[in-house]
Amino acid sequence: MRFFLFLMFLFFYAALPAHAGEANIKNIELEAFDYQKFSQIPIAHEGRIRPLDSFAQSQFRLITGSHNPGGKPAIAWLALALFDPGQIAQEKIFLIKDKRIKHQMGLPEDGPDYYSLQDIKAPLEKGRKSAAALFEIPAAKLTAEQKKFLDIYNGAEILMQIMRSFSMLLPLDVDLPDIYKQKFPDNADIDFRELYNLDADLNARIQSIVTAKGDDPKNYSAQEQKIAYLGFQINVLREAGAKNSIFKIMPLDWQNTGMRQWDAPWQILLQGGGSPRNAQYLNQWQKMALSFRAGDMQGWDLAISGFQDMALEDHLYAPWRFSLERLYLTFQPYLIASLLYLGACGAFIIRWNKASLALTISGAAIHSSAIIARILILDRPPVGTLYESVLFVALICVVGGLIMKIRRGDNTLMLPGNLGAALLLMLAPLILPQGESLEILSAVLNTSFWLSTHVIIITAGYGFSILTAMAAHYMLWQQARCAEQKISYALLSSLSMLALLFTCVGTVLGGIWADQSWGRFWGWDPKENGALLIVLWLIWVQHGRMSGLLQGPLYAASLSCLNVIVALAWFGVNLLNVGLHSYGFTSGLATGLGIFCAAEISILLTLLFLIKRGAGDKTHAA
Amino acid sequence: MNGTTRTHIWRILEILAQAKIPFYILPALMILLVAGTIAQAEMGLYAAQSKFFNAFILWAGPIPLPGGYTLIGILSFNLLLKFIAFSQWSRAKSGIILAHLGALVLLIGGLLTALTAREGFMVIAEGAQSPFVYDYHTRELMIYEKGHLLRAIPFGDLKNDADTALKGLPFTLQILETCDHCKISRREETPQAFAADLTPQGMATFMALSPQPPEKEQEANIPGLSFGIRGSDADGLYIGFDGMPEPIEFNAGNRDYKIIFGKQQRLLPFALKLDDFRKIDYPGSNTARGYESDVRVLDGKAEWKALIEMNAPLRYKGYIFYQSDFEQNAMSEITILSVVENKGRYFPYIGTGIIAIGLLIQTALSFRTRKRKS
Repeated sequence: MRFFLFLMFLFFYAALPAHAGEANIKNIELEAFDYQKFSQIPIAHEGRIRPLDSFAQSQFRLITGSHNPGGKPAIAWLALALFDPGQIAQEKIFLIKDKRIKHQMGLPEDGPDYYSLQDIKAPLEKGRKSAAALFEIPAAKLTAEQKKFLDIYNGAEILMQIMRSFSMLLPLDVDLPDIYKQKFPDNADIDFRELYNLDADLNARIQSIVTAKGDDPKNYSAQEQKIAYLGFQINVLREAGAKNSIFKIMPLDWQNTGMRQWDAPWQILLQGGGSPRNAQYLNQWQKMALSFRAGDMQGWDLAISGFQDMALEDHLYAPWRFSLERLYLTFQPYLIASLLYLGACGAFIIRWNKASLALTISGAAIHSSAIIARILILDRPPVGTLYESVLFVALICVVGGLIMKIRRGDNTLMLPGNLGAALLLMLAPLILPQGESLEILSAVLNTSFWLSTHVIIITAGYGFSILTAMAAHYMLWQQARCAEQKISYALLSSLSMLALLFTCVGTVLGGIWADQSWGRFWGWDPKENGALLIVLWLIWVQHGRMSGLLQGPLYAASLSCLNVIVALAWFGVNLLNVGLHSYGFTSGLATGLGIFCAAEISILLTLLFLIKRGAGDKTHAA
Repeated sequence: MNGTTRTHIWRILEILAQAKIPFYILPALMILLVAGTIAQAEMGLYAAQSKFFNAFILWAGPIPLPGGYTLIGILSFNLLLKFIAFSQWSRAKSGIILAHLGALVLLIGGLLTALTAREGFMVIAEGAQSPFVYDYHTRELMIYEKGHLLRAIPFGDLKNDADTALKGLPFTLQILETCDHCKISRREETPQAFAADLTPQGMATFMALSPQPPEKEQEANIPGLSFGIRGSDADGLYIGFDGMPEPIEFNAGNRDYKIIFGKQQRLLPFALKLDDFRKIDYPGSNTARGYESDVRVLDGKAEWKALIEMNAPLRYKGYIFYQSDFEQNAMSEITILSVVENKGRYFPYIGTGIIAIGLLIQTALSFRTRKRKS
């Protein structure tokens, strides 16, 4: 028993190949390598074949909170984690700012906020039980501190998984017993695959040692201890490898029957199912690893080129799509577009109309190009997730304003459209699940026809509703300042009709989709009710205007409230976390939504008060 | 009816068709919609829908408030009246008139669906066939004689009076206790005092049922009952509950009977056989990209293959079969299909088309009028 306790003490460290071959290599300079071709290697992750760079960015965002920790690209960190786990374990890439968490983990509280895996390894191992208990609690019920702790835990787990991905290929720092030294004269280059051949023999030897001398290593000779430790190392690596499935770079199904499956090297090694072609791929990876560790740039380039030739021969990926994805992830198009929209707002306010138009057109061009890029990368219509709906609605807002300007020379919607779009694009990253923006869709949503019709129409309806609300705000603002009226009630009415057209048709089309998918047109599901709420609000405002009960500023204020109604219908229903349309709880959404609604209502009440006071002053002056 | 009365009626109808009616009713409907939606998080979908939307009266404690049916009824009446009697038939109003007509078609479709639609589900294992559709919500006590269904008594009727439904049988059933959601526990832990001549039999020898507060999601509830059988060769106390593993079997009057309590079953005029079920994953993940069932329709001597997949149901003889769920284990794969009969299913399609055309015309007219004015 004590023997196994002794082994368990080593388990955590030994399961990482962090110490693999440490003695034989120098510290690698990440900047020295060219990662251009390496970043184009295909990997299956989260249901999609993507370039390695995309995987690296999403994973290092989860591990460290940044897609380029320490100012170095994520792809370089990934190479280091895969090929030299010993070095990355020493790199200070974990950002821990919270002093309470530092205290809880027993880390120095006053030093720099960056820590290495080596620094946090022991505290994490110590807190494993608490973490396991926290994982059982629903995310919505965790405190901010608990969430941060779990984020660190998750990050470390992901990093360790990546570090172990090629632990079967990397030279291991093993102290061979004399009986095996003859088999491996060049001790420095032994990898797991070679050691694995000794497994049966080692097990038999360990069994006979334990039978003869018991399970306390203290009773063993030096050579017997080496045998026991070697057996333990193989076992630990194998057990850790058996759970290693994150790095799915091995294509299976060589008949290419449509949907090719992929798996991680460890899974193929331990479970079988590979092919000679897989062995060829693994050899290329080993060449990459060895040249990377040796700082051999030429060997590195050759190994990657060889790999790419094989991948292209096997049609594993479309290079143009990978290049587009890299460009999309590097360029940050929505940030640039939102800045251009804000610039357009500023130019409009100081009456630089031509500059405002140019900035709007540039922003819309970048924005729409990015959405088209998403369509091409994901090979599906542009809106399938909450994040994508925000991007699309923002585009509708700005395009609505642009159409009015270009077709009719009417620039009254330029300010509301640009402002609405900029705010939405700034909101978008906050609702991104786990930093992953290029998501696959669940089976029921995976239909191009309904995504192209119902979803596009209803989100366009949200866009026109927000545009109408922004225009109504602008009108109230002008009225409150007793300034020249640039927006007419007729324009507001036309815009609200447009919003009603899209939201109403979109909602009913949603019902028809539900009828096609689930056999019922209407089920009072929260998402359906949310969409219906917008339609009913718009119908109510139209009837109020027709019956003369909603006129003047009250009519504009009712349309301004569309922002709140749309926010509740669009985001609020996700808070309930019920129904067939439930997209999951987005942390912090409730507070943000509450603040937004309260702020909107306060703004509208203030504007109405100012308008009433202005009207009173005018009457008084008359 | 004299002219004055006619004028008065016309005047009342005119008031009832005014745009003010929806202006005052719509806020109430919106409040109901928001309250009913929020309540779903607490009460579950089915209970909240029944309380708020599928009801004429919403009871807020002792205070009666208009429920979904009432509010939608008033709006429908207003819309119908406006459309038939008070529409201004002009080109300028053509969009509004069409939109109103589309809304009416939708509402009529909704009414027809509420009156005629029947939903259920089929469970078929790979290689097996089934002609039965199970109801999602309704449970019943079924009595079989030699495999033929003699009686099917709805759970609600059992609670009140089962005697009438059981007349003509050579044995009697005494319903002792029913529960909408039962806890199943060991008999020795749940002492129950019933008639002295009823000794526990079958599952009741080691299991007992006790009422529990209903779960939020209706599907999680286990309805059940305790009852006594007299006049048979196995008289005693029995229990039945949703999902009971085996039927209660006995002999009475020289005839063999079986009693099963469970989801209401309906027999289809044909059967479906499952050849193969497939869950297709995205590459390198366990996330489903799609679900598919290869089935055979067995109708008399005719037999043919059909594919049911997500968003692509099978339609046959007025029934529609949707891929709704599945179960996979090491031994077998089971497909779960939603089955719907709905005579009002084409109304939303027609209504949507009319509404779309109407609103399109009205929006175009609205922008054209604004252009002319400017």
